[in-house]
Amino acid sequence: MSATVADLLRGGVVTLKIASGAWVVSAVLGLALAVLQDLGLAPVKIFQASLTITLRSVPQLVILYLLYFGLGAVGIQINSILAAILALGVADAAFTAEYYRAGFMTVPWTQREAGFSLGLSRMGVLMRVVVPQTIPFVVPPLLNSFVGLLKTATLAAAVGAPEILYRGQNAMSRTGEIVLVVTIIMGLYVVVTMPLTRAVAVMERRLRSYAHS
Amino acid sequence: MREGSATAGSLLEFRDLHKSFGRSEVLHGVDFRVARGEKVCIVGPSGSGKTTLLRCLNLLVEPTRGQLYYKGEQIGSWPGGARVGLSGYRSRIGMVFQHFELFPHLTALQNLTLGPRHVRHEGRSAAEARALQLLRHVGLEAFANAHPRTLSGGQKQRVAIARALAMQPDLILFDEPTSALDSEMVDEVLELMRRLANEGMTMVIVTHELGFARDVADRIVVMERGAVVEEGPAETMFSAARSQRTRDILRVGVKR
Repeated sequence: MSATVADLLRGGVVTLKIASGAWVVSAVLGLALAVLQDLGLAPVKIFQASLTITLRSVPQLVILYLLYFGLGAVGIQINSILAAILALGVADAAFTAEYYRAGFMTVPWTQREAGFSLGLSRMGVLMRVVVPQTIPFVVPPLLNSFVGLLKTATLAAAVGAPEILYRGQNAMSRTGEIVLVVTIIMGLYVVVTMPLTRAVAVMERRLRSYAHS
Repeated sequence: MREGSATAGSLLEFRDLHKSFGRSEVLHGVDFRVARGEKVCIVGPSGSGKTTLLRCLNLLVEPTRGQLYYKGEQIGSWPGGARVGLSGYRSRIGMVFQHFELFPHLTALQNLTLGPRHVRHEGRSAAEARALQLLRHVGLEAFANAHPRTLSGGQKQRVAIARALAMQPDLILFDEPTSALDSEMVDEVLELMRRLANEGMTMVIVTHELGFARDVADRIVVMERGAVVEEGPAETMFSAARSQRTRDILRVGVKR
């Protein structure tokens, strides 16, 4: 029993690693996509639009297979954890980009004009004027997306990453204690997710009062 | 006037400026110029195109037709477009907005240093030293680390003027700088603008403050329905305007 719990905890650490890594990939790539879309350069726009549609319509697991086995087929071996980080991060970025874009829209156009009138470029206005004002609005949805990634991180089991569900499945077949293992996994998830969800709620409340001040 | 060159002595000049939004033309061939050190007030009823004219001068609004000259050099010709980098051009021209448009995520001091640091690439300490000096100049040194939301309207506009000054511009455009202020705060802003005028700053001011225009302006431009009705020295415009319409606008005051 205690060996099983220890094993599941180690798996939980791997899950956290995958989710955090994917979250960083998603937050950075999502911002890049949103900025590119905002700058509206024609060739980039088409690339960006097709990428977004693809990422949104294809299941994460398929993207994970593509990265893990697809790259393997052309001779690039990456380990299953890294593959999961990249695949889940890239897939999530299509959604993160929308959070940023919605955030950009909260900044009045006149703020950009004030930046332009100082001589800032379009990129400069975005990075110095628009994005910083957007941060408070995107942090709550970004935290929510981390909670989501904690769950989708279990997909990494499909490529053999030793995360929590992978170890859980092993434990189940080893001990036959399916209900016990599932209960432990649920418990671990609830313990990690609850404070995060709570934090999002608090932040959103603060944000509302800040926006109205 | 020769085609293709600026009038001698003008700092900024727009010739035959037309602007259409969709199908409606809001500026019908305006000629505008300002000389170095000159104070020009643009007055006129709402919808007369004064703000659009001002925003065409620093190309926040893309003109539909016309030629723009700056220090004798052609900045652009429309239809066609600008022939110089907008960033460099705009950095020479300050702008003060009706609703201040301070950056809310930055302190007063950081509002002042943003342009110098990231457009003029000045070092942080030099930019901050001059920003502090400018805040002192506008009487707000004590608010250097305050965020805009904690400032009054008049204080915000004074910071906004200091922000424009921080770029060491050749001229400053003012777009109804006191229209959004409560009446008790109008004077502190006009007072600061008077001081700038006395220091020799070149200023183009869209305003409804006729008393201020009369005191400070070297030249008054009266606009109506997208065209210049009349322009001339402040003293003659108020006492001996040629057109009845000008006399009406300048006597009655200008409704927004």
